[in-house]
Amino acid sequence: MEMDMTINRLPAPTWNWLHVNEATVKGVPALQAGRMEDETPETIEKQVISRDVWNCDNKKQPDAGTLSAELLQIPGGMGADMDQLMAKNPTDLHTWTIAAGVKESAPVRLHFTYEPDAPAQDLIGICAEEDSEITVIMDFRGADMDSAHGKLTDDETNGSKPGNTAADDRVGCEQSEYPTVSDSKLSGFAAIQTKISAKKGAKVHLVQIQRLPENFTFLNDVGTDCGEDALIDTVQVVLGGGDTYMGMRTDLGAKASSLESKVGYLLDKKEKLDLNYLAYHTGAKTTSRMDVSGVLRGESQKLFRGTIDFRNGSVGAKGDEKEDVLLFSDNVINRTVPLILCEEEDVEGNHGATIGKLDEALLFYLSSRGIAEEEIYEMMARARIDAICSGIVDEKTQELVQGYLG
Amino acid sequence: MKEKTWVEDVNRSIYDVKNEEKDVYRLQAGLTPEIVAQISDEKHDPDWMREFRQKSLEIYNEIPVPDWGPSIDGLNMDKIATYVRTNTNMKANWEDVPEDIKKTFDLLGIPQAERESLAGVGAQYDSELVYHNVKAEVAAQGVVYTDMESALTGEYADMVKSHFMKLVPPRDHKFAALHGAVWSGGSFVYVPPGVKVDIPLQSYFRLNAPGAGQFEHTLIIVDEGADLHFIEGCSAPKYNVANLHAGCVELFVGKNARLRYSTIENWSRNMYNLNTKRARVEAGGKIEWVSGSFGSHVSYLYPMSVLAGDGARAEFTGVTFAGKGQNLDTGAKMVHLAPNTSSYMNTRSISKGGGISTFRSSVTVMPKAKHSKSSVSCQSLMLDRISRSDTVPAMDIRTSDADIGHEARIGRISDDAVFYLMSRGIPEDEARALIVSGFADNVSKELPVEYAVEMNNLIRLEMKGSIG
Repeated sequence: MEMDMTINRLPAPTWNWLHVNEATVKGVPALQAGRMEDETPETIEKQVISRDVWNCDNKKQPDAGTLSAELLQIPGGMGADMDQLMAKNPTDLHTWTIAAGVKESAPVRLHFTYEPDAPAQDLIGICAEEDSEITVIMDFRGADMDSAHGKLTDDETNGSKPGNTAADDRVGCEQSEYPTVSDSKLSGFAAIQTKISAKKGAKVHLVQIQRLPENFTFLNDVGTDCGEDALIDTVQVVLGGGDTYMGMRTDLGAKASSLESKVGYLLDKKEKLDLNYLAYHTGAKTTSRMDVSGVLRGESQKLFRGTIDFRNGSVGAKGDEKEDVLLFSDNVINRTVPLILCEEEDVEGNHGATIGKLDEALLFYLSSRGIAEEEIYEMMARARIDAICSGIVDEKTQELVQGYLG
Repeated sequence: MKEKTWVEDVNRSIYDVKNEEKDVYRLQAGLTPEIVAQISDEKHDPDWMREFRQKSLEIYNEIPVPDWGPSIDGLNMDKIATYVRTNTNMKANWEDVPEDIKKTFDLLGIPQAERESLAGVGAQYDSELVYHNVKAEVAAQGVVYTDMESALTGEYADMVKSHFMKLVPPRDHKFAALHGAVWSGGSFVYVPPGVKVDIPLQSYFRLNAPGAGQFEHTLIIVDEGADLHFIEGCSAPKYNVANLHAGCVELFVGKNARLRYSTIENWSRNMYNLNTKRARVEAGGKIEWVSGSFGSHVSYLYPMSVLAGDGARAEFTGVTFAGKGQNLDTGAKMVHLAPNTSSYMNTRSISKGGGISTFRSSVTVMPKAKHSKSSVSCQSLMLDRISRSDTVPAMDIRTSDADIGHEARIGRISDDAVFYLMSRGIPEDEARALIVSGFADNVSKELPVEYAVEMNNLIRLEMKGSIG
């Protein structure tokens, strides 16, 4: 049976007329286990925990102290509806654990292949014991990658969709029904939830590359718990998809725990990207950094919600959010809601955003060097992704991204 | 009497003076069609306004309370008297104003400010204006500055009717609807084309009655090429029952005109301040908001600028100081509808003693607003760890041809700066007050000197006892 979901809620809602307080996904189909292949280094323990063990609906709560209990209690960024979706038709929990003191440079590679007619879900756990280091690279792709995405050559700098004057006049009215991102049901559907536990001094590097066909709805939820002096470092690159919803929540409860989160995206046509990123600082001297950068073309839409929440006890904490958006078409919609919430005195929180078109001086300079305008736009779009991907040490993944971009 | 602007002279007592309610007409508390009809009777409303009020009441009953801001559970409309007036008419001479009311405004420094630095003054006491006057030379320029009731039926009745609550329609939100139903008092200003009013006009709103609401309406039309600075002040004595302020400000800035709208808000801490302010700016025009929010128990205040004409501009400069028992949710909204428009927001928030300060904003750039620019800078200062400070900005950009910048920062007073000042012989509490005043100088430097001094005094008052 289909279900409707409300996900990616802002922790501090704002005016309803902005339509940014949450996202609604309607008509979510019943899901079954997805098709996943893995390449796991020998130093890393792989486990499959049966759905009968972890699924609460079966009245079999995982035993306290077990790996599944530890991982599943970590909240994700999308909220309770995503947990309910996962529990509705439960699939096995796949976990990768690295032992204390082990630092593995070879990554765990997880390949997810989605079919349009097989709605899928996956539940992943990553556990890094004390002073360990692990890299997990996830690749989300459609079964038929050849038709996945067009080349980045469209010149969409000209022509604009006429504004709706009557609607314009209602902007800002709390009771208005100003058009917003609509929720649409596309032909493919996939959902993944990843729970990460980084113990004291551990480092977890998570890389996610999304290159799905444009007819897909994709839900990607991450929840992380970061121990003392631990680091969670994520790089997520969205290169293709239909409606993509991403959430990530990081609990920085232990002293000097850190989050480094990078998101890059290239959206085109009617693609939609809805993001909700939350960093909760409760531990002293914790740090978080969110760096979101991308390009909107065609009639694409993006909504980024980023929250840094300094709670009591986060003395000496620092949080930074940075966003850089290039708009290549007059028909795109870019929305940004960067929150800084604070109930601790001795903290530093910063947010900076730059949104707009390509710098005219730069455009002129490159044009005067004989580079065609469409080539310049192509180059700048790739530069955004390259900057985000520079944080990926794995060459294969770098090549995969470059190969995809053509 | 010492001058009000003398720093050491400032104390809360000038704001907390309570006059006994005598010879006062007060409608029963609550909100019913009958009460709204009684207000229409009291004010001799024209038929269209009678209907407008009743329709607004219907809308009020349809719209839910906001589900996104500070709690207003402590506000019970059944206990709020929406209309209270002293049995006196509006005067044009301070000597004719009843003695206790005149004394209150004397303490607040209004008559003195009028003599020294203002082109005209309107003084509202509870639901009605008790004094209104404009300098002859300003009136001779064709400037109209009068109370809303006179404007509603006088020479400018058609102009009022065509503008009244057109910018802030009752359906905008619940308290806009409430305002439409029970509004009373306020000012109407019309500045003819090309007229520049060199010194400011000021309206001052004083709510004396406990358990009452004040719902003044300010309508300002600055015609093509004209220029005006309007100052709004407000205060009330503190009671142990809730008071409500749900005023409405509508500003129409014509082609190439400029309007500066300055506010120092110092309501008492039993006040729910649910005010709505909005400006529409035509081609080449400019609106400048200067806002200091110090009072109220709960505030929802976000002046909106609708940049409707090519090259229209808006600036919002604000400071909010939330102390003990206060939850002040303030900010601004910018809507870019036309090409070449620009907006700039520069705000400071200070939280102390358990106060909650929230900066909330929106920047909306619509598809036609090509070559538009917007910049937002908000800084917050936490003075202790029992307070709270949130920033909730939003941007919605719907054209590629725009240049949008945003920066937010939150932090504490630098120990090094305090140490430096203390090493120069300044006591710690003075040093902290000095730093906070400096932090808020974005607003104070935009105000006329008398008001900047008042604002700094308010900051000093709030900072008293901030050590230990």
